Amino acid sequence: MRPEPVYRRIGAIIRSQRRRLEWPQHALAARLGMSRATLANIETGRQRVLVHQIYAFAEVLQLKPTDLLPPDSDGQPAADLTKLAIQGDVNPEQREQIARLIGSQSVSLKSKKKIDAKSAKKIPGSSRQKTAR
Amino acid sequence: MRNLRRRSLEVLVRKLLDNLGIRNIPIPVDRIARALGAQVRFWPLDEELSGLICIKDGVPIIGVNTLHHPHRQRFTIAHEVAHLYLHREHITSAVHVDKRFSESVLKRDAASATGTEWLEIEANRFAAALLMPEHILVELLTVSPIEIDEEGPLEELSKKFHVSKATLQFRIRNLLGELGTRKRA
Repeated sequence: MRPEPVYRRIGAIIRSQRRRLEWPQHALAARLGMSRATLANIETGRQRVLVHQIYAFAEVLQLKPTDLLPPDSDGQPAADLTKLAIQGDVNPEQREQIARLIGSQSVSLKSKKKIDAKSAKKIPGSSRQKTAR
Repeated sequence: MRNLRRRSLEVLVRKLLDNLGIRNIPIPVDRIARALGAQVRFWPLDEELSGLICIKDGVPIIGVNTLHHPHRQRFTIAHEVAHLYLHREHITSAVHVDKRFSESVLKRDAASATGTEWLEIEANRFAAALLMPEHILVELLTVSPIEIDEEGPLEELSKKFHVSKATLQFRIRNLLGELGTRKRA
């Protein structure tokens, strides 16, 4: 797997999860003891994330460390990936993403609760304020 | 004919909301999806992909692209809910992938649509009706009327529904058009 796409993809997962939790960059950066600029660079893949940081990100973002790691696209496709029937045109990378989503468990369960709590409160700003501390 | 179809979609949405006891906005689309027995999974996907739906081990799974704006994610969930609610017989273990629901698709003339395109158009209409229920929208517009091209009030209203301004504008235009036709008839 080439280095640049890996870090970009890890960064994209971090960013999307951060946004879903409605955390501003500075809040997540503060929780992880890094500068906002460092986080911004990690999210875009310009800065390479360290192994201990993967664990820290996972904990704070309510994910498993492995959720942050893209599958090895240079390797052989997983067996269930080739079996997966998809209606419509998708390219191999999209197929891999879809297979991952269908095969996933952990993220979905957590995200459901989170979104629920958010919509129950109905005050968009409030959760952001709390998590910013 | 088209209006009739739209009308029955509004009725179906109202029934669904009433059955679930949902009276307030923003409409909790993910709660509705789960009430219909679906699992909602949020995942970063390619920009081109909005969402997907399939049945896995008897459970409907709805996938949403987290890289899209939250408003768009809500529309995606509502669109997949429509497939589940209206097109259950078409949803199988084969993953049904929805790509961008562009304005052009939304606006395309339904008369020229093929069978599968029609499903998408119908799902989009249902999604819009679900996110911005007619009775709530009409009530809000009655209490405080707005000019459809006035940016400020439109934005204010779109925030209440947690939808994009363009989506709300499109919805209001459609409703107004339809109500106008009915009055004339």
